[in-house]
Amino acid sequence: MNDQKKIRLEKIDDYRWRIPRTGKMQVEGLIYADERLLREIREDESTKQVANVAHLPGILKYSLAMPDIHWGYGFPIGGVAAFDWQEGVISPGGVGYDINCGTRLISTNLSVQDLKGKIKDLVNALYQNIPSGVGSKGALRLSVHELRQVLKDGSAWAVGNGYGWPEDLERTEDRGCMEGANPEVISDRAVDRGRPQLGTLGSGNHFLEVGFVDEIYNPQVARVFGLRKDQVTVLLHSGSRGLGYQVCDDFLKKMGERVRQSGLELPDRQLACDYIRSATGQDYFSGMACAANYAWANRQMLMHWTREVFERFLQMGPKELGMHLVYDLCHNIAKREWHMVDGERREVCVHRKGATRAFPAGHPAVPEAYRDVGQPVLIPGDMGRYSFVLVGTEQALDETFGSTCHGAGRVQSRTQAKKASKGRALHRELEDRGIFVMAASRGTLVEEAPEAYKDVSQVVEVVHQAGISRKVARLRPWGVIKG
Amino acid sequence: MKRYETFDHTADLGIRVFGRTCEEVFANAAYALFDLLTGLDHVRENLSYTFQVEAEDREELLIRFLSELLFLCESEGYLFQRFSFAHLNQKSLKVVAYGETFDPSRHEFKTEIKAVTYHQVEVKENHGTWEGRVIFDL
Repeated sequence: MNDQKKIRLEKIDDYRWRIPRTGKMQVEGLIYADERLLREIREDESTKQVANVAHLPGILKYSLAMPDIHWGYGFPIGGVAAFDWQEGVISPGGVGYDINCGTRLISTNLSVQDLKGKIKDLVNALYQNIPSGVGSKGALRLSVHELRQVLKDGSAWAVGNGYGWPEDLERTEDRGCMEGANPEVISDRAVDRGRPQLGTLGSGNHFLEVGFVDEIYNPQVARVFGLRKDQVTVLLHSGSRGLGYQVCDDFLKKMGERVRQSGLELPDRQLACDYIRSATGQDYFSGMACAANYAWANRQMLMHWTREVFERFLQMGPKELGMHLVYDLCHNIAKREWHMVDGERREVCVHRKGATRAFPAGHPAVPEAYRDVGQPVLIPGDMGRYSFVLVGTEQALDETFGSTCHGAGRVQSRTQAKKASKGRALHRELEDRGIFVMAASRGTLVEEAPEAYKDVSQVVEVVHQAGISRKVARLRPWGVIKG
Repeated sequence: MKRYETFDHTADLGIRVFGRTCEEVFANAAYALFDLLTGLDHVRENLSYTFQVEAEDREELLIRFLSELLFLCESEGYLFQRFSFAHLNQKSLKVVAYGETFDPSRHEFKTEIKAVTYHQVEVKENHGTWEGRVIFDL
């Protein structure tokens, strides 16, 4: 789109850039990036989207963007925006289609040595037992009544039905259950899409990855998280499947109609939104909470089967294996939280679309086990390089409503990645680097090739240097299942 | 005349659709949807399904139409390859879709399409030919 005006950016420091207020912007924009990342960011329209979000009623402080920002629908991916609960809006486009898409990290008592020569067979066993791929359906056949329980209770439903341990709930953001979930507002369509898919990984960038800790940056915090060098870990990335997509779609339509009726002026149709206190706003919040709970139950079940496979494969008991949940978090969500705004404690709705919560030590929402150090932040990279574990900070709470980045972000489109991998044996290339991958289709594998993504370490370096989260450990992939 | 072509949009995929009439653009957009989901080489015609869609304008109508097909594919496993419109105007359409049910021995899903987005959606007439544009969230 060449007719778009370039958005003016002012450098604040090496890691912060301001978009000054112009026109009807309610607040400034604030982008976290270094010069190198900013050059890539400026190639698409995401900076304009940061400015667009700043137009929405009730937005507080800044329209924020993390260093992994890229072009989304309406809101940029990697965007954070908080709205006054009483006077502000809520927007399905500020959350995204995959509601509560998120990551989960599991530790083990195993060291790299224990799995030497076994990784292929282990990944095979995981692949056989974890449903993945396009439109994958789970082994479960839930009744509508059971699904409603899942939507209300989230991870607690899963644990209550034998998928996991009670301690898992304490180490899940919001204990794996968002309050306010009301299945009444969910369409039959969303229910139909969601029922057969609970307990499935999905496809695209969703994955299950056996890896290991290859670098510790902060030994004290790593110890509290239960992480040590050479330890085998499992990282999981999945969301609310068709149910979440449908909830988003249903409410984009409803809010689009509301915008038309109310005459609310929006710079982009995709910013469709409504006041949080309105009936539609409340319904969306309740529906989104249902989808969030579905996603938590989903990841909880995927983790449970992963534990079972490890136990069978290694002939070890759960105690001996020690597969504890380190943390589970969402990176597509709108949350009801309290934050200090201009010296005043305010109830706000924080939209994190491709952004992660990063609360500091002492915050009551941080699990007790981690309260002295801060909330774990999980940042997955591509399947060929590494992922990161960070910890939340006070500065994040001050500056970004307690938020940080969420991942690497693509540099190549899917088609570019496909072209670049033509005639290449990507499996073999990865195996030569010591990474064994199983994918439901070659299509997914090549689209997800490592070089299709930014180097996640660049993204992490920015949030670390800016102080909105701190590096704790780095994980290397070893065996990967791609949907 | 080419029925459709794809273009890249960051992490997602767009289609540009061509036709001599508005109906043809809608039909070719639907064809593109299924072609991307599964590839239409092995799809036979042994069922038909009739449905109606309403919307506020032609762009939204295209989105709702494709969303309906995506839902039918995901929930019922329907794969459609031919579409015949009983009527189509700015705000509503009635269509008969022809195809068959997904059979794992002959079909595979290539791509997961999460949703049909409103982003840069377009349906327009240009010197007697029609063109449409839609972006899918993958």
